Amino acid sequence: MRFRVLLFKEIVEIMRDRRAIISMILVPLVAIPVILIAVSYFTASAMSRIEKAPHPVAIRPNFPIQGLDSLLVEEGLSPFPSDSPRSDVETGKADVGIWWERRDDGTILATCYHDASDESSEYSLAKVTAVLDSAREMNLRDNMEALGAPGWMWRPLSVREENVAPPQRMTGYILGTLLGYILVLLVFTGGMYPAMDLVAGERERHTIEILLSAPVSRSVIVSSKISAVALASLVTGLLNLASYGLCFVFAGTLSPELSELTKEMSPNSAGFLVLFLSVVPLAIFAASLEVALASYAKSYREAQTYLTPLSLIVIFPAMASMMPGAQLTSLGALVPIYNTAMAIKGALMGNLRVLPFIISLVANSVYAAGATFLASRAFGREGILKAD
Amino acid sequence: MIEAQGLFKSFKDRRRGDVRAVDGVSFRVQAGEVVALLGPNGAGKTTTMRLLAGLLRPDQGKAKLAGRSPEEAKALLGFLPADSGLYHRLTPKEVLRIFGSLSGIPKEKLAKRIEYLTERLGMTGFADTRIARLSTGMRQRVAVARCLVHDPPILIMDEPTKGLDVESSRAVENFILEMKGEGKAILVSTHIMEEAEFLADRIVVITGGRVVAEGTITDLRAKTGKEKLREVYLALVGGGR
Repeated sequence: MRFRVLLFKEIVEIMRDRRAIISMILVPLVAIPVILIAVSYFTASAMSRIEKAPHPVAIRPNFPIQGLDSLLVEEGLSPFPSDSPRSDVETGKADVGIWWERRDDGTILATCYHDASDESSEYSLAKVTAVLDSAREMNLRDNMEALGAPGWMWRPLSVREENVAPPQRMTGYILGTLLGYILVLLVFTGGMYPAMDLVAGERERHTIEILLSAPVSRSVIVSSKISAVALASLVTGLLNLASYGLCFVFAGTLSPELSELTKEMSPNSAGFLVLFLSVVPLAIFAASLEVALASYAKSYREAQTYLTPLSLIVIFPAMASMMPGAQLTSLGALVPIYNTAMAIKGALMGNLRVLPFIISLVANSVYAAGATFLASRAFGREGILKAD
Repeated sequence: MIEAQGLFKSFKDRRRGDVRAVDGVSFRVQAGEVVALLGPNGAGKTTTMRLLAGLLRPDQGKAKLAGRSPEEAKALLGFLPADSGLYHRLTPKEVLRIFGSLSGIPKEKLAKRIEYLTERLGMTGFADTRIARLSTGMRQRVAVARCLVHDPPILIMDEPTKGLDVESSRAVENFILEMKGEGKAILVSTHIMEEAEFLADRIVVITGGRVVAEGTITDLRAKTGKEKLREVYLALVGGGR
């Protein structure tokens, strides 16, 4: 009953704190969508502008392989003859300039001039090199056929790629690599402002005395604060997750490549259940740690000094989960933060093993209990009454 | 009801080493009595009150409220700290509801008590306004209401009129006297002799962490041989240094 009353008080305080509302709700629901959608929109419109613009390609006349011009035109490029392709690129008359020369052994050397600082030039270069490869293939085929050589002799090997990963695993691979990392960071950063406000802020505003003199034990006071901070962490994490998800889907409508990818994706409900199961003990662990650290600070500003390094420290184990090929092992399941990020990645990819996952849950629950104990001790000190 | 039995409390200070804030303080406050803890700033009044409220543990001695330890008697105590910290993002009604609920008062009884205190302390006009927007006087009335919401038989009030104008001070003082009339044991700290005289049945003069005099205002006048209150106070406090 008393826990519920205090939890209500802490939640009301968080909800009326402008800083917490900004970081917890406004950033994920407004700032992130606006930024991501604006970036996607401008990227897509810039790409479309580049595609629609003319792409002149200056070519030294009489290119020895027939049909190059028509191949370039098929790719949306505009070839024109030029005696100085390099200067045409330098002056901006052409995106790409092709200069060719016949060498002593009879082979042809084609030099492609381009401007690496110009997006249009780079776009055209990619097309020109692909066209030159095709032209070389066509020339080789014509010559060999003229000599009567069978195809297997001059082209003994063809390579074909086929992705056998089911859509669920592809989704997991793409989401899991990023999601574990992002979510773990958000859970830690999401609780910081509330922890500073509910603990150091309480000391700074001299409300700690009336709270401690109320007929309620310090452990209940600490538990309610930890629960409120953990709740704020979870809300921040999940709102950000939802926001990123919606932005990703929306961005898919702007880009054909992303659209193909989002069509392939299939939601993995078991993966998301594991994600939630993993994040809850992590949020409690993070909240306890933040409450414990904040209770040593006499003011909000001092709490910032203690808690800011924490957000930098958690980046490293979270980043380790992004290493390619990494999988959650029983030993890795004991490493806090890393284990949650890896469990999320494994769950979304569908290759999470049960034993390491259970170990990670138990380990995180033990760490959360330890951090709660530390927070209770920090809150039980007489020094908690002192403020700046 | 309130009993300080040979209380000692020291703090560690980086510059000054061990500082004894309370040095063998003893006194009693009976039901229906107001006792003023009088002394200059840094005399040990706040530490003594925190020891009695169970916020600090004494190094030696015992603090008792209604015969129990302060931890056991929290529900019987209304504690008003000196700086009157309040939750600025909450409204007075919310603060009263939360602290009343923490004391385990049933919902209906609490609603009536809040209504009574809101009217009695003249808070009706701002009971639903966030505390951040209230004046110092309004906040102090909320703070007093907060420590009375569970109708405790024991009140410990650290400088209850601090920062208030004369009018607001007198309103709070009158309310304290009314509480005394209801039979509550009240300990009030102050460094203003006139306030102590107006409120208290007995005065405990404390300086340097020690009790240097105790008695009615008549007793203290007789002890010092001074007539004017300020002279009485200076004679007692100076003598303790």
